[in-house]
Amino acid sequence: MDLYKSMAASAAGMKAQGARLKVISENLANANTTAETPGDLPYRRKTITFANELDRKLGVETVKVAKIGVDKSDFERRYDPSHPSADADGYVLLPNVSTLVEAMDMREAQRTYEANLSAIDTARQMLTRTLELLRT
Amino acid sequence: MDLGNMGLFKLLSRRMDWLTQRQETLSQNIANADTPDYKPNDLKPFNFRDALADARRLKPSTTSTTHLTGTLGPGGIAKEQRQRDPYETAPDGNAVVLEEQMLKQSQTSNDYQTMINLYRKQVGMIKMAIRGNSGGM
Repeated sequence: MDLYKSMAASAAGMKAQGARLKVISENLANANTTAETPGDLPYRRKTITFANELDRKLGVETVKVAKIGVDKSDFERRYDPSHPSADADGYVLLPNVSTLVEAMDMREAQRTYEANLSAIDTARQMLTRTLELLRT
Repeated sequence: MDLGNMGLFKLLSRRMDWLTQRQETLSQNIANADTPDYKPNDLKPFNFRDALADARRLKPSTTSTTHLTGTLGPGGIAKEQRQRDPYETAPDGNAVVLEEQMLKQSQTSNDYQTMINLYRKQVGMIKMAIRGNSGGM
């Protein structure tokens, strides 16, 4: 049945957005994680990319998580000589996580998740209507 | 009598088949709303004239279960085509616009409902023809 295929595609989309949300929460949770000793590097922001994948069993194109990578951009530096991990000049390296960017990303993930959910709902409605034909 | 062989029923179920496939394609687009370089697909528009011409075309009938029906299923598989003029392309090459896809989905759903209603109506008319109007619709 084709409508099940449609639901499978949407479910894969929801799963991918869930994985994205997981990465975002990791980033947010570690937004202030500095290194423990002066020489070490703080937490690096993680990134996630998706890829289109053909589900051979169902013959439907779904989506999967292609790669969870790291953001190689520069760390933020803050002058704080009293910090335990401050270097000789008194600077502390902070993670390259911007809470604003993460919040925006989260919003987007939520929207796409909702869109997938409503696609499932539409497919389910169509299926129910077809089954209702049996009652007449 | 096989209802499926009646012209209108055949046409209705082909249209429903097309709508189902479209729903599937649109769901794929929505699932890939954040995939880099993904371009949304859509089906070739359903053409009543083509469907009618196709229905008139003679096909070899399968009189034995061992006969092959060919590669195309009943009604055939609607051809997919890449959307030619994407409304908007994101910097990562993704051209899915959620609003557009949602709109198309609700259109598909509404059209499907229409087909269901037509189907029901037709069955009702056949019933009326069989037992007279006493049964009502």
